[in-house]
Amino acid sequence: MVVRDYNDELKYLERIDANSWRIKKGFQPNMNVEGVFYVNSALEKLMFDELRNACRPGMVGGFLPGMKQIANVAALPGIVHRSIGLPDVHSGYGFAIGNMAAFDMNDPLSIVSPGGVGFDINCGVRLLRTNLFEKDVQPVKEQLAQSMFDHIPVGVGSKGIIPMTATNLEEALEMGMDWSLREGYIWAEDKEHCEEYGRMLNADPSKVSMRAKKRGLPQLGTLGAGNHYAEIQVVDEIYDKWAASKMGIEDKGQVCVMIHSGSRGFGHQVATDALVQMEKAMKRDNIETNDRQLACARINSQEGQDYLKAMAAAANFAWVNRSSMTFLSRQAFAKQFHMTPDDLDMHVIYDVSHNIAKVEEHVVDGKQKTLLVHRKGSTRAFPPHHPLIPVDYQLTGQPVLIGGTMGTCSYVLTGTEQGMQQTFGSTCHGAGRALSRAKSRRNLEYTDVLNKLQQQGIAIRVASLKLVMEEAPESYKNVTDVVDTCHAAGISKKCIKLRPIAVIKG
Amino acid sequence: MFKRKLLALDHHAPDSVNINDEREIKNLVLWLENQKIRRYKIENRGVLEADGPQWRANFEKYCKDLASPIVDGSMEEKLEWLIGYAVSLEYADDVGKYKAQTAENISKTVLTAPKVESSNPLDNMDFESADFKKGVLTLAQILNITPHPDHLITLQAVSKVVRERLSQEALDNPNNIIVKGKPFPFQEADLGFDMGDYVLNQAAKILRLLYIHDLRDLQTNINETIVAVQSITADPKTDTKLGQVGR
Amino acid sequence: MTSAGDGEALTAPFVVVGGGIAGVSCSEALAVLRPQDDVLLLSASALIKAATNVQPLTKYLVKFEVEEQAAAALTQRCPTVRVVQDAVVALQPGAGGQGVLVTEQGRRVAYGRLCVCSGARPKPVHADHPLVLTVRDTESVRALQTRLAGARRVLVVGNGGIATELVHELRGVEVVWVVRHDHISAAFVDAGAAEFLMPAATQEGAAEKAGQAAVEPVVKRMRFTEARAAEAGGGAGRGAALGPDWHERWELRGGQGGRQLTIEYGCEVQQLLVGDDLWPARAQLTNGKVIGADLVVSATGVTPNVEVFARGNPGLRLDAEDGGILVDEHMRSSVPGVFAAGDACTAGWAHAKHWFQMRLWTQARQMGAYAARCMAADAEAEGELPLQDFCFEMFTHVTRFFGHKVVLLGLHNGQKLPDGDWEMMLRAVKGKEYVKLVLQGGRVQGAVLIGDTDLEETFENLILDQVDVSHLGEDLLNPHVDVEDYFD
Repeated sequence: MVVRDYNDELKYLERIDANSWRIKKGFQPNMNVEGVFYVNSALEKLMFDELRNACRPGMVGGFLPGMKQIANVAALPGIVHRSIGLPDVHSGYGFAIGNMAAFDMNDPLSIVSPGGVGFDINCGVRLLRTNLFEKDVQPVKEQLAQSMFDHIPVGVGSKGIIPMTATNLEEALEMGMDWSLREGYIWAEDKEHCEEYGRMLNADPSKVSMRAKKRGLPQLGTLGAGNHYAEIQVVDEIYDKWAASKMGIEDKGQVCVMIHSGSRGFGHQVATDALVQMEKAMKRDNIETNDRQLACARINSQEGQDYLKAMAAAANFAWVNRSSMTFLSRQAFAKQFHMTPDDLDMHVIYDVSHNIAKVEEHVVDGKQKTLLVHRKGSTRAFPPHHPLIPVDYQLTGQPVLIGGTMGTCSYVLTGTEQGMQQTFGSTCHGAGRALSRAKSRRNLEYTDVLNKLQQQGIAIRVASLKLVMEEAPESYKNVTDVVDTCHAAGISKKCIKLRPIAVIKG
Repeated sequence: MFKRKLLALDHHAPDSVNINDEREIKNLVLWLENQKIRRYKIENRGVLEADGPQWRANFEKYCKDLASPIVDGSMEEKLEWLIGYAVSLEYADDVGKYKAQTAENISKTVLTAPKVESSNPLDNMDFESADFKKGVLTLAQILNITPHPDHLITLQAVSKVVRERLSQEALDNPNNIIVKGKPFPFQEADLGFDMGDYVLNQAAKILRLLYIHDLRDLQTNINETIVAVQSITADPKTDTKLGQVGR
Repeated sequence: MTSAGDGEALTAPFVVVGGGIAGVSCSEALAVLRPQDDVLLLSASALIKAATNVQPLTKYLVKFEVEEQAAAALTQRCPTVRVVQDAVVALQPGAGGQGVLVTEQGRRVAYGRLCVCSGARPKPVHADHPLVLTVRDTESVRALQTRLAGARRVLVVGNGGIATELVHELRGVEVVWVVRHDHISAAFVDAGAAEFLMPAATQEGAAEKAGQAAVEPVVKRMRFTEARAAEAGGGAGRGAALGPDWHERWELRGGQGGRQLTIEYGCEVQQLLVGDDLWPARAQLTNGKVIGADLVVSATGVTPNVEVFARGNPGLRLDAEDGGILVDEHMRSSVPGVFAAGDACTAGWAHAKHWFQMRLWTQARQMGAYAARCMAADAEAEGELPLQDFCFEMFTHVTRFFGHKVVLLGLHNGQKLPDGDWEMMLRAVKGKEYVKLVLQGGRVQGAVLIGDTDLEETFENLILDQVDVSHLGEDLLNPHVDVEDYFD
């Protein structure tokens, strides 16, 4: 890391417009492209404070500030256009969370990096609608929360309740949601409303270690701990009535279910295995990066290809996982309301992944290019008419699901043409952590957090009290700031705001 | 069975020959010999009218006399060859006439000159008559369909409405069948690109909508197929003993 | 519970031998996995041990308590499990995996599949000496309790978990603790952790210092005792072993008030001498000292209890070193149809880097339940053996020593790592917490966490994921560095 005075660092930063800043070459060594990050005034202050703190002499810390991480990614071989920091960006392993970057598939030096995907591969959000309204649910809110809690395995060490053999797992890894469909856990329409139709075709379970399979098998169909949750939400605001109606959202007060989960220990192990392999590949191919956490391999190398295939299998795992929880949520609702999920109109509105790398076609400097797009803590947000989005959303643009944090709002956005041009059709993924977990535990009392939630009328079921502090809204950036920035910058468009009435957490 | 070849031979009932009925087979063979093949002299053709097992023997001999390659085959195969043989004779009789019957020419002639006498009154209708055009227009008005300059296209629209909206199913259960479309803000809709011309842009928008409509039908078909497969494969299970659920 | 049954012939598709944690976990899991089949549990003692209050602390670290229960309690929970109190005297494996067990009381038990969970018994130090008491099971603790009355000085031999807990719990008697290593509690923790625990061991417990009574004046009784069922059988050396926190159920208090602890490091008992006027027993240590005591308590490790199964069965492979039944990754012994779990078995598969076998409750429970899954899958017509459970990828154990929560993860004592190839990192706040990491090549290999550190999940992840943390250096243990946020 280049050690400079804070004021010297500022010379490399330049405001582009009200909502974005440029990181000029030289901010970190060997930058191939410039960096950019999107902020509003509140988020801007957080970003600059973080940089200023890191410039203080004698600072210890595990992570570089987000801006430095964005700039280090800009120095990776094969990167095109810009290294992009979305408004919820915060420091992570190698890549900042909320950093997206695209690499030219036709450049033989281009790399793929597990750090650019994250440990929880294909962590994502799924939103189900219902035809219920708040008045139907409020009186039975507690029972419904309990019913969800009873149906969905939650918390550390929880195990799935859908019987799986090793052979089932192999099939699921290869087939993704098609496996869930075949076994009858979900509806045909669910697949249609899912990014990649819930299946990465390049998945190859033989590229996944036995250890990952052992680790993942018992966890399939579990919510997990950490920032994952299942929430019962009500529509609080509709910004785009027509787009909302295409999603089956007619009016304020309509009840939805949001599931935020990923590939659990399976993805974790896949990422771990790949990092070890890539450290070797870097030595062999003389790949140099600014930060050793940015372990990577050439896309065309054996390690690169193996990772992409194993990552795709992990992505499939995550879709099967969210599908299993969709099944369990539908059961919970059906039981509570004595109606079939069909009669409750519990359709999947959409399912997004926010930790994934995918091969996509984009126009860069007027030329169409095939790119490997890394999105870590960043959601795909394709514009209207894009061929890869479901037919129902061809006119509205892809729905983008932004999960809030415990007790805060969540949003549905839609993709825009401007986002396609500026950010490779990518936008934010959530609130983004503002305090580290340890800091949250030191600064907050779980009773305060729980009382506050109770005052807001939110039913809550949490398996671990530690999480209450770590995941408190105070530990995160304000999701509304994040979403408003994306809207103002034009990289996605606000459609619906949702507010939780019941939270189920690890 | 053998419909196309019999049609080519101008058989009187090409659709309805039942080869499981020995009497019909006998008639068919006799007809082929009398009208097309003429292998035996007229006075000798009586052997093909024999009864019972004798006919079988005579038929075998007849085939042998024609040098049929089907010796041990089924009756069906033997007849197939026999009819084919008759076709080849027919062709040889008038090579000049049939030579012109290439695929392109056939398609033209078939359209204009259906040879089969039909009892369907529509077949005898003059679709271009003023009367017909007026009828279509009236029908369209009743059904509230905007007429197209080409009355046949209007007719297609009428047909679609009748099929989709006025079927027994749709009438019994209109909410399930009839899609309640939502008005689409056509003017505000973003096309995604600009062709530099208002009219062209509008046209492109319409094409897009039509395309999306087709795509929706395709996706619906895909979903129906998946559901059909699910009815065979699906067996969702949960076993709460496997995991620790709730607390 | 059934007993006394001369010549009785019993048959069950699943037979489990041993009423300890492994056997009971195995039986419970079989009842869940194969509700259609009967499970027969043969227990040498009248009471069985069950893991209760099971709480996952992290993904793979599980805390639980061991409770002694009457056999009826197990049958009540799992109606398909029948418990027979009897001891096996011979195993007669048949062709095709099935076979017969012959019992002490003359029963012949035909099994479809068998799981040997017969545990282990203590390696006694001079076991024949009348003043030596070998502590292994609840029965021997009861004996200890009785004999402690009036005792002035007790010599405790052994450095395992049980000896450690015993020393902590002994009150009102002078204790001399003979430890083979140069630090205490070697089987679990290293010298540094022992040092951390020392204040708690040598002085009175923290609670007592605060002026509260650390022990209730009333002797706590268990709902069921061996005494009540003693007539039914269960001779010496056979009862199920002690669980974590076992001492909580027994009041261990000598005749005198106060407590005095002396530790003799780096030595063993060489021989027991005839008592003199002052002390009924005198032990000569390898360091030359002779120490007199009223009672010698031996708690020096265990040896698998498998002789009756091996006798006459040359096909049953035992581990050359520790004598346990060798099992493969599906807990199968070398005899078809015979599985083994818990202390009785020796894990004969290629161990994962961060796992090793240690005869602990944690592993007994894990192996018992996993063996049941393998047996159930083996019994299915088109059964597919399960993937080995992930718990065998990393050593985990949680217990309490001297009133502190102790979490052990991975190669926490540098086990299996070549000498000089690994380093240690420590953070300790006296009386509050103690964190030790074992690092190799900048990656965490193991951890000892004492006190409420809240770090178990982080280090579990770091060990499993082998993330390079060398750039953090000493800051890895700096509470202001947020290692847990690495895994987002």
